[in-house]
Amino acid sequence: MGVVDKIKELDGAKITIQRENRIFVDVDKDRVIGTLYSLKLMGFHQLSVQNVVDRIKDGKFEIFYVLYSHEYKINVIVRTWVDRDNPVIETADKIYPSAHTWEREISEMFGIKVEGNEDCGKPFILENWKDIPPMRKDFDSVKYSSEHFVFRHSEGENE
Amino acid sequence: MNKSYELFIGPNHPGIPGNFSLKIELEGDTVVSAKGDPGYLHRAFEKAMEGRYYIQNLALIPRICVPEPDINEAAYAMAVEDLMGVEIPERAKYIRTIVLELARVANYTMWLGGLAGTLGLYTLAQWSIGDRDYALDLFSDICGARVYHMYIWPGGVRRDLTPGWEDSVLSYIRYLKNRLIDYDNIFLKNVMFKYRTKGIAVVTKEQAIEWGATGPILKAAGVAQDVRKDDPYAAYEYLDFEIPTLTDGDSWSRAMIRRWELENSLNMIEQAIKKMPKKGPVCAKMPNPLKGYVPEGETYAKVESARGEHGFYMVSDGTGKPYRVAVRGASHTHMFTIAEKVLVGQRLADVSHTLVSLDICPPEIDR
Repeated sequence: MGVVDKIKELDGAKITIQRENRIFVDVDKDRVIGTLYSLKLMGFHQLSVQNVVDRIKDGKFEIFYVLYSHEYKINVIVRTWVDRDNPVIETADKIYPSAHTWEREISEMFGIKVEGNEDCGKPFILENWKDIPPMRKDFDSVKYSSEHFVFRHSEGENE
Repeated sequence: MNKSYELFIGPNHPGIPGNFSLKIELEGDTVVSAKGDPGYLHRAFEKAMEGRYYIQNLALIPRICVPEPDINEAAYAMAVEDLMGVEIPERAKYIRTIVLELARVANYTMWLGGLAGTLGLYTLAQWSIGDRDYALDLFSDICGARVYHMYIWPGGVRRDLTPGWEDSVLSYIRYLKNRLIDYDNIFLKNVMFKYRTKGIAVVTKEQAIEWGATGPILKAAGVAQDVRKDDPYAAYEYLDFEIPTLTDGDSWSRAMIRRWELENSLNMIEQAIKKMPKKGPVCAKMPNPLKGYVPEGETYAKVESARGEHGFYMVSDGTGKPYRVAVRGASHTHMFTIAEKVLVGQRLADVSHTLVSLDICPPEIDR
């Protein structure tokens, strides 16, 4: 059985083959850690990136994990969705050590709580941030800038 | 009395590759813990991209990596082309390859100077950074800009090569191949370089795979992985090149891999110039950039940077602006998952060159 067939047999997963070496695997939030573990056992050892898409119209956060297999030369993109009102996921850093820092980043930038990652919640890139998490779609960066910074006119510009 | 003490390296330190800070705890001059402290270069690129048209983002993204900006343009353009289902013309594929390899050469020459500088040999730093400048002049000839080119864009490249540019590139390659002999003699064959880097900051094959290393760190540990070979883009599938590997995984091996890659890049540019169609379009027919819409969808496009896998995860909602763009720079993983671990046990004098040896590019982390 080829690796693509094995991926197709993952429990509770919806598979979309975008092209030969790009496969999307959509799973429920409760299954995501099990799916990542199964994929690692299949040979997907590299977590390239873990990040979030704010699907504000659906009231969800889409969390994606881009995995890669050195053996099969395939990227698998695992996606799951959590409620925007109570965004909680389980850490994947026991499976992929590099997830630890990606989770710190998504926790700070999107306000997602990551259970099991003791560094989430500590300041990472931002400093003394008191507004809503800045990568959320309802954060207005122009409004924030106009409230916090003085506008400087360029030389020769009409004020 | 405390046995250990804390030392801040950066954000303005000659041994730090950019505005980045490292908090290290030392006992004597031995590192017992190291923690990266990012944020000094955070300019919210990902958020800013959501508010701009696809074409406007091209002025923004090269700044995600200062020494090698073209990888951002290529990965971004590939993601847009993927969502739009656009195939770029043959000549554009070759031009992209030449530009990307020239950017890699510029990056490696600068990196070599950085490594030599952190080991106290400033002569090579002055030579190689001077030689990098000639590559920047070549970029200036085709796009008018030395550092941030905005030359690779969705559909192909912005405009055709200027007449005689290929000859100037070939002349530069001949010059640099001779210079590499000088680099080897003064630095890489220097016994002091070997003493300072052999057995330092070792990343074994198992660790490199487990920690998610890519690029020269993975190759120096013995894994022949390269996006140019495994998932070819631009014209790499038409070129003949080997992926260099070594097995020790130490600072010396990583330097040797990069030296090897530098020569590979020069050879690849020569091949690409020889094989490139002499005439033909350099950009596919694309809609008006301020009125065109990118179909709804999600994709991940990746290229091989001088540091490893560099990717853009792009989400389109079918409008003229990207809904979400997430950038994957190799340094993100290399700093927090690898450097923080391998620095433990090193001497203070080796911290700077270990960071350069892992080639940490801070803007890739902050974005």
